[in-house]
Amino acid sequence: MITFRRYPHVKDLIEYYANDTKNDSVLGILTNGATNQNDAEELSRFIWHMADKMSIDCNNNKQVLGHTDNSEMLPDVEYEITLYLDQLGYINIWDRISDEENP
Amino acid sequence: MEEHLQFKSRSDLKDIISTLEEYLARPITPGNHPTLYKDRADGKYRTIMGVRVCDYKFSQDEKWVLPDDQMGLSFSATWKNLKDVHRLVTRGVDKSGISKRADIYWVLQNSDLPDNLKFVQDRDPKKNGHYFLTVTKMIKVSTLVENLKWVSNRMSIIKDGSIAL
Repeated sequence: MITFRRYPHVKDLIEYYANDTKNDSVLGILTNGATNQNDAEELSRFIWHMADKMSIDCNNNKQVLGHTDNSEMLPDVEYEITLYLDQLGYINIWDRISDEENP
Repeated sequence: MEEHLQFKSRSDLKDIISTLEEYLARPITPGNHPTLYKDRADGKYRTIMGVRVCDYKFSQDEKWVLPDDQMGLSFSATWKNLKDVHRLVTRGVDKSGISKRADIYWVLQNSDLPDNLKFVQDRDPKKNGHYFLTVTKMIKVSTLVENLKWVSNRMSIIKDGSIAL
């Protein structure tokens, strides 16, 4: 199971959006960890799509985790995800997906 | 604020950042304070007087902040670190349909600080380029808030001028 020690709310946020978008793969990764390169790629891409969805929800005044704007959590997401993937040796995958998602 | 630089693209920002030496920076979206947060009453993300409980170590009665050299407000000291954070906080569009923007607030690593605050590098070997603005002795939360405002008033800004494009 993935745990984020410094910013534990990051997991709540990812879990919320994985459920919201019915992304069973990401829910599985949260439970079992990123066990291979495909998982790392899937998780990396999901983070960018989650940020997109957060922006849409904020613009629609949708309450997520009790608030309409959670964008201040995004630096925490970056901290935890890059730390997690770097520890597994997958930081290059994060970097590649991030460049692809932000041409 | 000592300097007012402006960027219109991430490439511009990279060029400007490359001219700075030993900086510590935070991307801040319009309407947000550079060192304090909007109040949240509950949850793992709650705040006390604009300070997040996940950023500092508080006494049990939550009136004091305790020293910890690996807890504090987060700052980027390298372009790689700053780029990732900036890309995430500016992802998507605002309510007007315009791409989200963020100004870069920065200070020099050896800037004068109140004597109870200190910049300390993240000790995690995977977090090169990341710093905390730590508390060095037990202080009242109200004192930390005043000191964080003091720091914010001395930060320089690189303005996001991409809206003009």
